[in-house]
Amino acid sequence: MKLPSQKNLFGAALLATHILTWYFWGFGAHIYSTISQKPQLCWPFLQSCEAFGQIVSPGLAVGYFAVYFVIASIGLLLFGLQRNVGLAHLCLVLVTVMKLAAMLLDFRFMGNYHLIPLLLTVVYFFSRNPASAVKLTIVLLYIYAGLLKFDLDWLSGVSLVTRTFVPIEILNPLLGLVILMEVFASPFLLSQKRRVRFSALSLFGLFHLFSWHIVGYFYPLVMFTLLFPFIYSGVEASFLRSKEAIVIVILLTTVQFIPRLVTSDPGLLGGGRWMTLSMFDVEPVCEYSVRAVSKQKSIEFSVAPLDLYPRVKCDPATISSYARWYCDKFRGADYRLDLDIALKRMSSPTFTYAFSYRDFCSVQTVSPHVFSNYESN
Amino acid sequence: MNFQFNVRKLGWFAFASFFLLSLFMVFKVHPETILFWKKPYLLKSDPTSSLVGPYFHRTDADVTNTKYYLGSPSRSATVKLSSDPLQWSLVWQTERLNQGIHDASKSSPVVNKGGVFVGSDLGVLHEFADSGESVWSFVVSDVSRGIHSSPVVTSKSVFFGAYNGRFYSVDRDTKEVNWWHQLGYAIGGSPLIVDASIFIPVETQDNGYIVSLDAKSGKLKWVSPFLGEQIHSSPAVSAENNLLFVGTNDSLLVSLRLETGKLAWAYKAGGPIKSTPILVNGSVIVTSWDGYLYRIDQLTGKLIWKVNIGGKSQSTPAVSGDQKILLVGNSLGRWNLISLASGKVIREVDVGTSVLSSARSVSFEGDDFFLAECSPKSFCLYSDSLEKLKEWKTGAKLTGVPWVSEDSLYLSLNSPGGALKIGEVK
Repeated sequence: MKLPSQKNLFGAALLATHILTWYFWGFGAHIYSTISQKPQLCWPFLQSCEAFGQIVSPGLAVGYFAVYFVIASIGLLLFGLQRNVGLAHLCLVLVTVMKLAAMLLDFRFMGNYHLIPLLLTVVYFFSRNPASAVKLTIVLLYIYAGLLKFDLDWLSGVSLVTRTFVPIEILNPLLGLVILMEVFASPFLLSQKRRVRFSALSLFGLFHLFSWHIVGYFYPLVMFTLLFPFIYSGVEASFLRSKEAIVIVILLTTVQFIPRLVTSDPGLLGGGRWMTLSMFDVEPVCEYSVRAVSKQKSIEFSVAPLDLYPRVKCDPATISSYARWYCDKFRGADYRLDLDIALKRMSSPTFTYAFSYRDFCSVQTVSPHVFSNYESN
Repeated sequence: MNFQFNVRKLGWFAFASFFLLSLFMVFKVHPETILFWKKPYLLKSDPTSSLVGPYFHRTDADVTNTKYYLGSPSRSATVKLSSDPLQWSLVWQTERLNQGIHDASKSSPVVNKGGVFVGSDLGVLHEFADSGESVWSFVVSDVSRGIHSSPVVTSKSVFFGAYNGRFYSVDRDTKEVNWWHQLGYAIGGSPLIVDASIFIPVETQDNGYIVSLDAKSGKLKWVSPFLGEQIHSSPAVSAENNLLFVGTNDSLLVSLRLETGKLAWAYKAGGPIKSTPILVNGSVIVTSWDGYLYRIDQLTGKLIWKVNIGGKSQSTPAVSGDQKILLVGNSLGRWNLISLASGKVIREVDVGTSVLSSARSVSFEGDDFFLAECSPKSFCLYSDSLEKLKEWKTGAKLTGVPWVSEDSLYLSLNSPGGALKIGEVK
């Protein structure tokens, strides 16, 4: 049997990530269980997500994802059989749109293991050389992920989402090596020389295999799937000098800078971080309190989003969703609502930032993009 | 069937849309973000200690005319009455305040300028008017952990700590929070303000420390070293010796330097010290769960005497107006009258209920009296020889400390009781 083209291999790999997603999201049940936990957390640009969330029932979620699975499977089969590739592409578009629609229901679905395949799908469809463009994008993402890891949170190990069995004396140097690997070894994934490319692939394969017990099965499996086409070839040097490659580099670099312009510490303060595919490996610590104030009574609520994924729990989008939820709860009551937020990185001994919002319901001061409208301390 | 699908155009469109949408959202929908050169944050949390949590400040607090638990920094003041306590009777009583969680003493009332402030183990700080009407309440977060310490009340501000580990200052007129500070896991002991510094006992889950804040701004001044397992005791301060004294559940009586929080000395008792130390004539006096009352030299930390009072005690001693005798209760339900000079027990009186509360020393027209619990559901006026002179039915048990003003007495009772005022009915 003839091997599919590099383009079709990536098409198949991207469809395979959707089948993984179908399993990861509990065949759709996870979508419903997440959005039924109130408050529903809205993406910064879709602040009315509750309206869409109300439509979703357990049956609808499972049915929707059954269709999603069938379409992804058909596309994967067509790519495998190398027949009717146009229809396979349509399948890829459909499942991507379906996944995007599900992700937009709640900010908790913003994990970079979802965002990366989405970005690669976009690159895949726009490029004249999809396989090369996708490979270059993956390498760039590794490089930026490595650069963003260059901080105390990553190097100390506090930003790991769960603990590891590796002793800290070994873990710390390993975490440093991960940065070196992502920044300096990832370009070798593009090499046309089989031995060089395989060496780099082995490194990344080991890295994702090791990360399994820390981040769970989904992320490594997604990355294994996306790295699979690298086994067969690298990237032509001529592509790397093409306008297309330069455009990809410029665009990806630009979006990395936007969060830096919005806030000084996007990993902690969250502003615009989703644009960088949320690759900041920071364990934020945040405490926020809502105080309902009237002349006769003040009621304080400490909002401790401990059960939220670390990359989400302190984001302005999350906090604005909580704020809006409290506004709804107190609508019509004779109370003014104030909100205090304090944040720090886990590696910081003290709380670094504090923001106070007075009467946040009346003027909607809590932006889902950045923390602002503060009262200074 | 073979789809003709112009994937390149679709891809370009999607990518451009994503990029433009990103820019639009950041710079148009929320124009404040365009001011990125003006950093949208400010506070640098006070770096003096990594133990304390976030601190929020809106406005400075008032620290004039300060009133607090047990009435003075030495925690041993005698209140001079202007009206005859024998003529007092129940003026008003509120509905239930506490649910009775834990065996610990409940928050005690503090009265200042017509406002009666008291916390409850239901997590609410109450303000009552002097007529007994509810004026205002503050329900703290983690409400189930309650408020167990007593507030500090000034002319325009009220300060209080809660078992959620937060310490608050609230404006009495506007009811706005002046500032609040997360100081640790829990605050169970009662704070004290001396010279615009506020001293607060703070608990971690297995240890504790004293925090000093600037009372106006709430800014951290110092954090003491870890002092041992939790601090339920409340601090007393000797301004002349620049020392602070507090007990710990690790059986320590600790003396700290007032300016720095550094340890001056520590005395090891035979059991947890949960009562508040009182300062009398250069000595510090405190009870312990080991069943002893200790008198220790303030400057050296050396034991002057200790006396067995027959049962574990978390009752804070009250010293008579002439500073000759002490009254202290124990868990066996007994008040002990003790000579301050010798430490000998002069008289014992059984009251039929475990004494978790503390007595207050008062004087009227030159005579000394004690106000103290005298049964599970009543409160009494005692002579300085422990003769019962007057009894008021309260309907519930007292576990804190009475607040005594010139002409009235205020109590906060355990469940099912409320706050009540005893005084002259006009």
